[in-house]
Amino acid sequence: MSEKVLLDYGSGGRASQRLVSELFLKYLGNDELDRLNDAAVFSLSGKTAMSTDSFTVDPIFFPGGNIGSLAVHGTVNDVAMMGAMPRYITCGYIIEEGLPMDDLERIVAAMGEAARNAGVHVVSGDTKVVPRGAADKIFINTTGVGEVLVDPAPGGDRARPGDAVLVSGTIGDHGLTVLGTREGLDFEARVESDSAALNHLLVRLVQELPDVHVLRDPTRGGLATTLNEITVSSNVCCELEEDALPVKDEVRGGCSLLGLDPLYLANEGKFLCVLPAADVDRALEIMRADPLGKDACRIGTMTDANPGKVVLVTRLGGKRLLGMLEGEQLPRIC
Amino acid sequence: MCLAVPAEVLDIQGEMATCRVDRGQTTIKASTMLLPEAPKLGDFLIIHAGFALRVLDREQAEESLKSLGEIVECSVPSGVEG
Amino acid sequence: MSFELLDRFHDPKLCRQLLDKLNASLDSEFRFMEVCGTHTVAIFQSGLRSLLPEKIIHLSGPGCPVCVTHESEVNAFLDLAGRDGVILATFGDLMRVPGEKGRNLKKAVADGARVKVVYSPFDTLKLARENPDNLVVFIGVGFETTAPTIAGTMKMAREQDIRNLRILCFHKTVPTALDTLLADQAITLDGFLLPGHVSAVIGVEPYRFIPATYGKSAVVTGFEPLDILQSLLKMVEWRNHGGAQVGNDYTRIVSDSGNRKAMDVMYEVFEPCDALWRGLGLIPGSGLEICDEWAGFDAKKEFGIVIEEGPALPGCKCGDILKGVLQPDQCPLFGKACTPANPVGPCMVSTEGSCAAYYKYKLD
Repeated sequence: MSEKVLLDYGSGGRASQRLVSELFLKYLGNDELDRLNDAAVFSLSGKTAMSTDSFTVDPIFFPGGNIGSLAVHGTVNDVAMMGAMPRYITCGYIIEEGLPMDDLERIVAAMGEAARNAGVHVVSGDTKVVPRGAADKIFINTTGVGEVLVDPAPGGDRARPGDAVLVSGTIGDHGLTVLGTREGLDFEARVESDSAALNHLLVRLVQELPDVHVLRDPTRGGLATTLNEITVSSNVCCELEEDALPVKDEVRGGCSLLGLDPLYLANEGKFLCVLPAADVDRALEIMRADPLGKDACRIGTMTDANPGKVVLVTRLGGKRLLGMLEGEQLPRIC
Repeated sequence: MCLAVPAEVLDIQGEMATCRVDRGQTTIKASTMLLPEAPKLGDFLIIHAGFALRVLDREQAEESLKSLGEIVECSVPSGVEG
Repeated sequence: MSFELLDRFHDPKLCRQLLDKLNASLDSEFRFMEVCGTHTVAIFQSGLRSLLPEKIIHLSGPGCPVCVTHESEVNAFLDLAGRDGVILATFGDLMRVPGEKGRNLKKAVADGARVKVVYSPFDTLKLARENPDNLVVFIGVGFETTAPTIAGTMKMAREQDIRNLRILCFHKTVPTALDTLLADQAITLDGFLLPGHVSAVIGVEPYRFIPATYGKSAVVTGFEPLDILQSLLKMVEWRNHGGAQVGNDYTRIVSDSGNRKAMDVMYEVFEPCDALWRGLGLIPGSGLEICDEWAGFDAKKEFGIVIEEGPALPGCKCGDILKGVLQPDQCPLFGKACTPANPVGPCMVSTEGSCAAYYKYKLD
């Protein structure tokens, strides 16, 4: 194969075939994918969760992962947040011509490894190559399906006053990492993206504690945005304790420098868990027993005080609203 | 209006200081060209938009905290219910 | 110095004790204004506002350079965005500031304009070197804190013989604007919190006129809850004893005479000029412009940009809010026609804008 991805590789001809056999099957292959049929055929039993997501992250390589591993983790996590065990995923690539073949290989290899670790099979895929400038290096779409393990499934509308709010670890790591690798921001933060597949931990959690009311991964928009979505869907108020929020010193430092709030930074390997207060101790035990949940802690409580709102109780004991952001956070001087 | 953060000087190359922001391993390079005197390693700078504006004065910080303590001490204790 | 020492400036126990002390010292309402947006955010973000005694009336002043950037200045940089051969460099703060007809820099980028968000003006040197066939135009906003960083960058550019950097200079200076504010009869205030980081550059001396001419107190202060509470308490006690003064509670960073070096760099490149402030109008001598010796950097000269007062934004009360005459939620547009998603006035755009802070943080 050539050193760079050419338009020919998306043509459906021999070049495409070579790319599929020498790259995609090499890293992603399994019995179903290897058949190279027009569609994948598989069985699932009972209620099924399905989720799709497209990944356009810039830069495509960052400390702690790349767009390939992220594309697997993101979709696997979304399926698992429904109390489901993710089984199969599809992936569609849109590649800008000229992408170094080595880069593509690193990305696909990372996808393969991420899928194996998560225990999911890539059963269908598609590749398109577009002219230079028509896309930015590479975009990946993944869709995942899995069997729902609990009934009723956790849902954003199931939070109740009195429920406890837990988070599985430190917040803002991914968001700050990606910002830090962007050109033009001259700071260095020794921090890595938290990108990881949470499904094994989540399955243990819902199997032992089926009464978990809400599971959500606070990705884009961060913890604050996700909690706002939950409080609106469930018509409850979330009271967060500022002192309890786990934030790495590196992330705190980077945020103070750029005028950002870690509560609005993306996470790719963390989840929020809303559940009856009686289950808190056991839930934290389960979470902390897994390396991906070692920093898990309780950060707040659902109340009926201000339905649809998230209220932060500050270190001083004051209260303030924690609203939704209008758009992405930008570095600021004032 | 003017977001500025305190940061500890770890290294100095010419008019550029590498500084640690907060306790973790987050560092920033800041120009020291606006400072009246070159900072020393271990100094804390207040940094705005990539430029150090001042060296923090430790004695003054301690003095402030001391006088705060004095203000509070001569006040009625809080939280006492009649 | 250590981070532990700095942490003590937000010690919750000391804060509660100071709040009690403040409460006990108040025999009537005390109206204060902070003139710095970072104070606005600090007061809300720390939750301090929800803890202040009822008799403390908090008003937000003209302290955010984004807020006071005049609409014709906003239109001027929006006009520059998208011009052939121009790369606009800006602090992130300006990306969503609305100009006429709902334009902003975000939308300009969507239309193909080359706009680069930088953390430091220093970053524009690299940008200019990497794009020798383009003019890099930096939008210079900010008060005395920021102006020296732009001046320093211009000096570096000259040293490095970078010829394709221009500055669109909209810098403003604080004491002159305070004078204008205080002269407005509509304003009834007891004291000011003065901007800590502006004062790190200009010192305390330029504020002496506040008690002398207007009989009001003013204290330079930091951004931790203890700093703010200490200064409020000080001003209340001065009033109780019948006197107005100027004080400095940010002595770890601010000296009475300021940072002479930073001032020298600033005035080597800039000179005072009249400036238009959004909401306040023309204030003589309250702006900075690039002096003749550095005219080669001047984007206004390069592109023939003239800043003129235009018609006011219909319905927008930002002017009264910046002066502290109205609270943000007393504006008829607040939260209805004017939200962070669709800001009408500048106070809703900037993170530090008083309207945005109200909208974002205030619990009803």
